[in-house]
Amino acid sequence: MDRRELVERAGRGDHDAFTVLATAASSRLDAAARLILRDRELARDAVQNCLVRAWRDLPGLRDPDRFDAWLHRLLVNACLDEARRRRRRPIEVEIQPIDDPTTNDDARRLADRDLVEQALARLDPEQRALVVMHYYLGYPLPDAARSLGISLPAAKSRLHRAMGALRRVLVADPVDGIDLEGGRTA
Amino acid sequence: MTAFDGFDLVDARVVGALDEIAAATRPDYLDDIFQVTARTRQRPRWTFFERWLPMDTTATQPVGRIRTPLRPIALLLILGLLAIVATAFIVGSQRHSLDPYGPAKNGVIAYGADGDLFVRDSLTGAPRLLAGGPDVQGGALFSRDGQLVAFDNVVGDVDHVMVAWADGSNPHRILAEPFLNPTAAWSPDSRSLVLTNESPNGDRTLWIAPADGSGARQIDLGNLVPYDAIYNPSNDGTILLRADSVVDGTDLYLIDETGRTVRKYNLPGTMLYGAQWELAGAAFSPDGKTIAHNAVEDIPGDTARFRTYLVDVDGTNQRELPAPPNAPVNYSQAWPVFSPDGKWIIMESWVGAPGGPSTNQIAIVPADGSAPARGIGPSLVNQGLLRDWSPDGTKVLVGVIDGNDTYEVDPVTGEYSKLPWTGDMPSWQRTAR
Repeated sequence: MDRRELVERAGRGDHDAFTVLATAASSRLDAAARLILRDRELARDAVQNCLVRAWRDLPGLRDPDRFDAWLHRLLVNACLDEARRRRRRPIEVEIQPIDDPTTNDDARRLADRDLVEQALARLDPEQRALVVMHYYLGYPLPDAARSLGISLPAAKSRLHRAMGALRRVLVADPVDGIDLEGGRTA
Repeated sequence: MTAFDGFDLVDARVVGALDEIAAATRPDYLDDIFQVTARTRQRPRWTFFERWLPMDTTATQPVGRIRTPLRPIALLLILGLLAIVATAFIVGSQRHSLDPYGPAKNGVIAYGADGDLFVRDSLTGAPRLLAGGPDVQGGALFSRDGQLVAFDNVVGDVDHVMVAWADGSNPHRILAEPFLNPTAAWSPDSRSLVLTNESPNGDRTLWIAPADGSGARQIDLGNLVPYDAIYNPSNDGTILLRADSVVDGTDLYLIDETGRTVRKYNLPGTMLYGAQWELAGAAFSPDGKTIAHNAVEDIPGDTARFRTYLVDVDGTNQRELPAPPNAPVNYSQAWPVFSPDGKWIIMESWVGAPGGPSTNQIAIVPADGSAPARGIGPSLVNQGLLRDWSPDGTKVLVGVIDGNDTYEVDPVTGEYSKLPWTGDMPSWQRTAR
């Protein structure tokens, strides 16, 4: 059974088809939610709200091929809902275990991870949502802007500010020899 | 190189670091979620179509189809008969003529159930088939003159907009393209519909489609992305459009039928739920002088809420419709529908966060905002409510999205009764008094 048929079946009330789709998408949903919210429990709540809303509203999805984009949009909105709901609650920063680097590449990778994580912590949830949609989920900026309900100039401005913060910490710790492939433009 | 010029070294490091930080693995709480979804009912498909159709009922303007006698017995008799018919028609038109807006006599009620369209002569009358067959039909919407009915016809996975005579005869497509995430509203003269449509690649477009199927015309909106549109009751051909712009965000526009902007309203917004919901639910008062619309408002320390605002058609005097006294901060009231006489507005109200547990009820408020809103009809938990007035303004119909139950509500006393039939949100035909 192909993916399109699974979406169609789920939209007609086939819960087993929905569990297959949701399970396949869950890793990236959970990861994206943790990146945006920086809190494992809030991320769990956001993913649950996203999937419950997806199940409830799936009959209204007219184009099965847009399921992933639709699901990611639901997730980002659920994350921002959680962020707004808990705005006055302090966010508990999740501390990732530090692995022992075994090579220079590993050391660079881990250093980047820590630097980016520190920079992400300084961004607000709306900025993180845009960074995650564009750089982690891979959406072109116009699509990310539309999903977030903001204009393209606003998205560019927001991303510029977010990337400025990330650049400042990463440029202070430059790296050589990264093999770049492909291109991703706004 | 900037962040927008390409995929530079910093971009690459950010992407790699995000993958590292996120460390995507299958979450261990999925089974808990699936237990919740297994207990959750899906929304019926038609509610999505209905949601975007304006819920204001239609007015009747008798067309008066006259049959000329085909077999004359004698010239004098024919002339005499024609004179009698003409006199009767003129007198009848004067007696029964109605503006496209305003109170009217209640006609039949059309609704979709089990893939077919039905009509009932009254809320408790027996059903008759309006449109059936192997395809799926739903989302009926009578024209303002009550002579035509638009509906959604699904063949396979593709939806098409259809128009038929009010008795279901002569069904025909009015838009060649498939209908995706649509909105549809009748013109005051009942000769055309204004439609917003979405292509499979997500591009949204605005169309004006003659009801006779003679060919829909796409309206060039430049950089505006249309979400929904309704005609101005003044019948001057202008259309109230809710659209998004990369420069100006989401706003309401008054445009003419060529797409030229007559007025941009510059209404404030928060974009908390995105362009799909910003300034949604716009409705004209029957006299065309006032526009009611939703607004999404931030609640500090909590989620957002919806409220309804009025603004004069010239863009001035924006004011909020008052909520009930002692309403909690997360009380919402939105999706306004003017009564046929324009004196009252009903809205869907709820307490709770969108997507979370909520208590829903219909709220009614004087259209001039002179008194706070009050709840009428059933108060239901986690049930989205659709609403409409009877053409004579004495009843409110409430459709429950989940389960398709339908209630009849007295707008004065708030008393209600559940109707002995279910279906998608009905459309009530207006006829001459």
